[in-house]
Amino acid sequence: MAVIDESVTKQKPGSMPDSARPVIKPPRPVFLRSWVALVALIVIVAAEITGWQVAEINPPLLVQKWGEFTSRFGELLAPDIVAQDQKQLQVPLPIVGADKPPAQVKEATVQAPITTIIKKAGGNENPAAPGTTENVFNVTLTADAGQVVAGQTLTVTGKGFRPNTDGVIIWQSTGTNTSSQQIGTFKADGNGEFKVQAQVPNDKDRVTNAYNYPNSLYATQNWSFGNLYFSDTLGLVLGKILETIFIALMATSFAIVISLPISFLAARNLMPRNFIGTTIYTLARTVLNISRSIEALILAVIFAATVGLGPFAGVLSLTVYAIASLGKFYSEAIESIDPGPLEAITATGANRLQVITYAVIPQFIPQFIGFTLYMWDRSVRASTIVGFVGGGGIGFLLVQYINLLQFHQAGTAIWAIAVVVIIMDWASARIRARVI
Amino acid sequence: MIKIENLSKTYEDGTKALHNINLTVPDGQFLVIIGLSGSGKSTLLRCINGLIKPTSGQVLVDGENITTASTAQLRKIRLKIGMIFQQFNLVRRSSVMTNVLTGRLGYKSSMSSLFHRFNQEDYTLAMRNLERVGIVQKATARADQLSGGQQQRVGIARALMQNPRYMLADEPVASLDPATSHSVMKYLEQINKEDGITVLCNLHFLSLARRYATRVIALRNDGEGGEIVFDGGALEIDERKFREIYGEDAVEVEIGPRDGKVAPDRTLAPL
Repeated sequence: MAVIDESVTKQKPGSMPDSARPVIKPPRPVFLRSWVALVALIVIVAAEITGWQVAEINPPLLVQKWGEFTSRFGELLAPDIVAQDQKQLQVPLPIVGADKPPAQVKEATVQAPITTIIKKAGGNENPAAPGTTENVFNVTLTADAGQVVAGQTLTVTGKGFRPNTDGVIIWQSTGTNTSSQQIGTFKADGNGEFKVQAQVPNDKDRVTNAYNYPNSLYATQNWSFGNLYFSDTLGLVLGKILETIFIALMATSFAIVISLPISFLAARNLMPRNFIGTTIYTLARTVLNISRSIEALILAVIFAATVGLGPFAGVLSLTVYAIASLGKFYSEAIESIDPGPLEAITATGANRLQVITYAVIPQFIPQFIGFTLYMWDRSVRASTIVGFVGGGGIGFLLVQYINLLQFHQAGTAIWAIAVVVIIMDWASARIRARVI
Repeated sequence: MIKIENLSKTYEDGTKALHNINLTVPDGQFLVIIGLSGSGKSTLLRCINGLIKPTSGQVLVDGENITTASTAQLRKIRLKIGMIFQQFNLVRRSSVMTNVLTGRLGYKSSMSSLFHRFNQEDYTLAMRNLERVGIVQKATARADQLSGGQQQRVGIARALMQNPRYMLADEPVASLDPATSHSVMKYLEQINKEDGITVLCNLHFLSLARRYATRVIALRNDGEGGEIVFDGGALEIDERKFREIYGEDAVEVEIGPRDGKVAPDRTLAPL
């Protein structure tokens, strides 16, 4: 139901009729007002379409890969922090024969105390101590096919495995393409038995055994035992995050020492308004502006090439980066202080240095502390990126994990960064609340 | 004695603030400068201690020319001219004590003051001056914890630290309520009478001028810069003079009498 606003339909008696005033019409939509607007609209649409193609925008790919994305993201969210020693039961099933005659499946039967593999922290493999009862399995592994062709489905049956334990079936090829591939998973039941379907790789090179060595199936179970302990990844990450914090600390400290004097020179209200004062002010501003226009990442590449990969390159690049930002922050904070006390202390007969000590610095300190803490925090975050290109610190480690697709480990690094940033943010809020 | 000769000031943006001011202030006077906002009162005070450089003319303080003094000489002359401000201009984050001590900086070298070195004498003097303005118990408080009137008294104590012969007061009570205004003005009157400090005070309140001034000058700016349109005793300002200073449309309004004893507190209000 429309609401009738009487002030529109009725006029107050005695007031001027609407027709007596100039009429201003509500504007038409912006793109219909002139041909310039229309052309601009067409240009924008054309640019968007071109951009779509140039940037290879591909929403279906994202949809198709969504599962992969979520699984990787899930790995990131599940960082590698604690670990347990693991035991592994690995049963091989040789698949003999070459392409001609076709590969065949033989029954693998192991009826002796087999040596399981114990994985210690960091993936060291130690044979289990002989005679350990838990290491004795009387295992039978069979596959149902008389011959094997690429892409075929096999039914794999196992007996005597560790009960109620997950496992994987792996195809190990020895042919022209030597590699291993997981082709199925299983879970042994309460009696240690299972029966699952597994698909032979759909790749002839991996099924043919060129040197007459048999390909193999492996049924592998892994299970944890013993106490939980912090993973090696965590140790590495903690070491590197500490390095990152110190890189940021050093860079921020150097930057304070250098940018503080510059910022006083770059504060309009402290520089005398004569030729020399203006020249120094302009020069200081220019130095800050130029150094700010170079990204820390580019600086890091240059410094890493100069002084070698490592934390020092990171410190140097972050220092330059922080000088520019701090210099700007500081000088603007100084410019924004209350000029009244400056005037009052000047009027007492104090000189410029005394005015700065007693009128400028006390007013500047809260912002100085706030900005400096913020810069440290920002340097920590920037140093992760700088680490990507060889600036040391956590970024150096993170990029390696990502390149090796070790997303659990990468997750540990990312979580460590997040935790440090949160702690620093909290701490700086506390400190600022105290000094303001 | 302060002697101002042919003083004119035009700001960089073209604003004409003062035009050909001639004024002699003998020692011991309580001079109140009145006039509308923009009539050049603040500029005049700041020309006296060299915070603003005049465009032409000169200011002589005890015969020393402010306008031609070197930076070092200027600081020396400023030592004997205290100043207080409408917004008090204390360093709000510093303690009352530190604020008062800054009045002593003119006697210190850069190096000693850089490391906050004031000696025991300075502290004793600061306490003495805080006691004079009645806030000795607030010495360790932060300046921004004080009320407006208390802050202005700290401002007076800071100026007294200079051991000044002159006191410039730029609208010292414009941010204060009438009762507090009187208390601050009384401290100015006290240092004028007891210490013989010459006071030059800008005021909005004509009633305060009548009450405290030994001499009143009025500035008026008709666009060519502020000029002196009245110079005489406070009680000489009658209705006609009043309109001359503040313009035809101005009226004096009365607010309630203070403490029920003083004459009606007549305050200027624009129409």
